[in-house]
Amino acid sequence: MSESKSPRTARSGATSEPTEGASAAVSRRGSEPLGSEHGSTTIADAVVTKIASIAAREVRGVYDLGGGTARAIGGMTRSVGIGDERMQGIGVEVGEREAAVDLTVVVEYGESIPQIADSLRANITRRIEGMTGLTVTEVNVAVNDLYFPGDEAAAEPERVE
Amino acid sequence: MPVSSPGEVPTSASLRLRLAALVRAAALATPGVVGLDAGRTGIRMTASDGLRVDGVVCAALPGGRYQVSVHLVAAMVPLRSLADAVRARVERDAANAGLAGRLGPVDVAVEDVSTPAEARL
Repeated sequence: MSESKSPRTARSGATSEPTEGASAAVSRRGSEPLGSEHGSTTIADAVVTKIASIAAREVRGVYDLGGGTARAIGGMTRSVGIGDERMQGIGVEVGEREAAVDLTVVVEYGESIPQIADSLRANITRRIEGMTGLTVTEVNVAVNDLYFPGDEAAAEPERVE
Repeated sequence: MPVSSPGEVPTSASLRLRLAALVRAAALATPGVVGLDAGRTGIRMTASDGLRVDGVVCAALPGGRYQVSVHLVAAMVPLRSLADAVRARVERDAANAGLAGRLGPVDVAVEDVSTPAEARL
């Protein structure tokens, strides 16, 4: 976790995909893979995004990922079969050896947000480092909304266990 | 016509295609590999003689070797060691097939992971 995250916590109500924050965190040596004469190994951004998304949904108290607009559009695109809820609310920047994650979450009312944020950092870092070998330099959490049990009108988002 | 195993490739086919089929079979036989991914437009493939091997790109290098890149969909396992296992298996199978002298670097790209929920579909 670097010290560059203070301005971003003020990004309340941000509904865009949180990608711009992470870009500063990872040196832009970028996507050229680790190589040897035997060949290189690359791990696509989509893979890191998916791992982060699953890891985030594993944390107790996280109701959903994504901002209001992303979730509304996500619900629409999902209903016509072109959406992927696992990409929603997550921005990753993947370098040669490091990755940074920005995510927007909706938490359940009554849960401790600092605790959820800590759990998110720990779980996402553990999963990404375990599966990809990348070092996670930062996980920036933006809490976008609270969920009350009465809120689900029609469609309740699926939970990934 | 898509090819899924080296047995479907006639020995008269180009070396490039035979190598691609061998690499595809080796990757699919590695535990932790769910599938290969030719990309949204299907461009990551090797085609020759009317046959096509999806998810593997073979490109000639100076000196007669072929650089191979294989594009995986993986299970939720440690991905670096999976990539190393795929690379080792490809090199071993190529050696067994007598193609070790034609195999160049093996680039492994993990394009996607398959979650338990998707696996049930």
